[in-house]
Amino acid sequence: MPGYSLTNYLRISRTGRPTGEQTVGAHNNFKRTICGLCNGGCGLLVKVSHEGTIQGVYGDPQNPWNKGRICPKPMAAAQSLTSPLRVRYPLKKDRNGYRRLSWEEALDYIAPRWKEAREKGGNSAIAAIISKIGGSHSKFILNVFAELTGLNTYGTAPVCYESERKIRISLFGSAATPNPLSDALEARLVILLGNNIAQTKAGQFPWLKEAQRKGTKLITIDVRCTETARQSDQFIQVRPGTDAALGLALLNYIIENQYYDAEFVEKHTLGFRELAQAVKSYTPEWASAVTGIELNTILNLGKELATLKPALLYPGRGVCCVNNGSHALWAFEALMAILGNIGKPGGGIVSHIIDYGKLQGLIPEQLKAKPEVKYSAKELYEAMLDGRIQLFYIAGNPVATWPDTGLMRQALRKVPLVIHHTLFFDDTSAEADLILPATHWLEEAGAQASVHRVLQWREAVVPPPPEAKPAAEFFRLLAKRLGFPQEYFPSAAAAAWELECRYTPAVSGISVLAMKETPGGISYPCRAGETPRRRLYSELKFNTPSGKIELRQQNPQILPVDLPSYSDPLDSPGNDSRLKGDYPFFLSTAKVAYHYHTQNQYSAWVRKVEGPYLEINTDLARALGIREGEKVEVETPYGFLVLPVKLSTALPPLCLFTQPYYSEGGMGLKPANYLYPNAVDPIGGNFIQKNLQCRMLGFGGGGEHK
Amino acid sequence: MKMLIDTTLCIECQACVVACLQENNYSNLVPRIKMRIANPRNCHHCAEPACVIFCPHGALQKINGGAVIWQEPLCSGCKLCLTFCPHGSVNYDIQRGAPVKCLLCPERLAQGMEPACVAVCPTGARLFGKDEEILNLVEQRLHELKQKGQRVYCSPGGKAGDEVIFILLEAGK
Repeated sequence: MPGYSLTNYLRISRTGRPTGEQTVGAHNNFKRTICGLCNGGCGLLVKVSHEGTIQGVYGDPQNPWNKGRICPKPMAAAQSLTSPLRVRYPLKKDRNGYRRLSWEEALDYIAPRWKEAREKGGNSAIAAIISKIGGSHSKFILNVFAELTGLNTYGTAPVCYESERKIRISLFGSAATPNPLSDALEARLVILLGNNIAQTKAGQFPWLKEAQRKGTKLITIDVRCTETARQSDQFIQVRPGTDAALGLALLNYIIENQYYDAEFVEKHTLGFRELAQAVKSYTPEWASAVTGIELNTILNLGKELATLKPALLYPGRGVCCVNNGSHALWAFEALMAILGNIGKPGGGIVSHIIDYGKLQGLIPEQLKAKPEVKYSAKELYEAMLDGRIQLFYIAGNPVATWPDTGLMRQALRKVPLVIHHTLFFDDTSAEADLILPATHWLEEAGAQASVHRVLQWREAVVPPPPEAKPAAEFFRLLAKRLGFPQEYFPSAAAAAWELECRYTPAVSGISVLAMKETPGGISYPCRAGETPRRRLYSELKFNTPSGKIELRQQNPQILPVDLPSYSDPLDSPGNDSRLKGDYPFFLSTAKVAYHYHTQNQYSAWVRKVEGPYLEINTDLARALGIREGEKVEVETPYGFLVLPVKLSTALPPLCLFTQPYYSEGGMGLKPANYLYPNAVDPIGGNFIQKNLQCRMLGFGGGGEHK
Repeated sequence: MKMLIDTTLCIECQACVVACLQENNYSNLVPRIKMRIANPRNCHHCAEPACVIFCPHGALQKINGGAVIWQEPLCSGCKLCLTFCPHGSVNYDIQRGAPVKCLLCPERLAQGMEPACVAVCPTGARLFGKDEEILNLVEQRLHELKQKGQRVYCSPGGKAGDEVIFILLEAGK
């Protein structure tokens, strides 16, 4: 692999030369696969018994992306496959509980109702949450089905990266990660913004450590001194929800001092003058007061941005899943642009949005259908409550992972037919009329994309439970019942990929065989007959209307405002600055390395590691007389939850943190989303999961105990 | 052979804890190690193990390779090892009435493999190797870290010392 010092990496971080044998011993009974969780692209070796059960999951020493190291998630994922809560056959809810169905019976029930819902209410009468739809086979089939039926689909974007997606499309014409994570080795500076990659992509974190050893400066900007911050060369602590102030001030500093790349700006951007004008009042002095960051720190950061090139920006959920994150994302990504840090080895932006483009030309125009109305994720609740949604297919767990759990439950109860295609019987299953058994990525073959901008092929490691079917199969069978041409619904994953890549330009040169034969997979874009490209924008061509980076957005259909500005988190959706006295703290949810969404709750090992908690600053706890382990009631204007306290010096006194993964089905706890409203960032549309006003009852908040 | 646990490289991902649970799954569900930077708990396989000295039944023994192992048939579940371990690194499985601690993966070592926790560690915070290699590395790391102004120290080590060496940050900011 050109450009990487893989052997150096191996030597530096281990004693002696590690071989496969040191990690996993002789390789018989081991099956190779690629983890399907965080999109890090880690290679796995799975020990499988003769009976076809998983005995252990290990890192694959031959995979160049993780070189035999893994985070705890895939081990837990393998264990959860055999959880007693695994759904193994179709279930239909009736008055007495649940009745077991065959797939035939289930489809007999679903198909006519699917048809009727569309006939009576239009294409938009059906919605689908597809965040856990499965691997590439299921994603492809679902996309085909959606094109044929005008189905409104909702993936993880509304919860995870919608604001990032909208801002990056506005700036660059595409949301996908411009640079691979491996570019860190070639950067002189990496800025991690609201990004705790040491937890969220622990298996891939070594790339940043290796970059550091080579001399890259790693700066973490965050509200808490996270595990990532501790490993960085510099940690800049910022007040919650004020990152945009820092970004805008850095733009101001770079522009006022003419540290930007004038030639790059002239040739490749649009709207620079307007941006410069917009940030004129956002001085570093102003930002220092807003963010709580020392003025010198801001000025030095500006100087380093001006001189340490190429540089990478890697924004995380901390600036995306908040009520004012769009401005921060816009400011910082625009900053990279005016510095000329785009499309270069080590220069650009890394993101975990790893799409490779939409299907083009597979479905003939006359067969395509469109939804009459595309509801936003926020609007979906209302559409369910007032009967506009007649049928909801859910592959995911929105009752736990979408905000305002109470409202989501109410809304789902109003939908006449809710189908839950799931691995586990979870909180969402409890609201479903029909529950279908899904397959796991360990049980599927498919192409796996990665934050390194590569596609790797995986084979199934173990067979699924006999009646479990992937979404690919469900939609294939449903499409047959509904009379759609079967040629668009290949039943095998490899055939599906070959069809998909033929009609997806960016991956048209990536066959299953090529992926299998290339260690570490193949970079995309890779058009048929061309060499794979490691990153986007090397030719500085952008898919925007002007073909340039659009610092200013003139089309209100793309973004409702034309330039970034500062919005106080207390005056942004979900919060109300007038309630500051009653709700003096901020509540945020943050991920940990051993959980993935709500899935790893079903792993007995992971439950042993640690339980749910409310993390509180140690000094605050002392002042309020709260002890470690004590149960405390945390309340927002929308709900309350009782949690045991965990003390920490890593977070500021104003901030309380909890985890987003626990739920009633998994750990017998109301999800943290009981506390969050159905509110989104007004520009980017991301649901908020952080910086929500809250109080602890009985402590420093006033208000009566209800 | 020695193990180095360098908490300055630890990102608290818990891969080691879960890998250990996976490795010992058929035995019990009680974690054998805890990995928090401020307070890591892992059997040190001490040079002079208190648990071995105080075990009335000889169920705990220090073997040639340096590991302190536990033999179930000899154990009465009396919990003296828990009580006397100076590192609080012996856990207890109530269901089986047995102590649970790191045994340095004897089956893996017998096959020439690294302990399960070392094999997974993404940052190389856990390393395993020959005595000399590890001791040299400890010296190197301590020097590197002190150069950077980090206030670090290592748990008692040396050729005749514990099999598990920790690099720890001094408490307080």
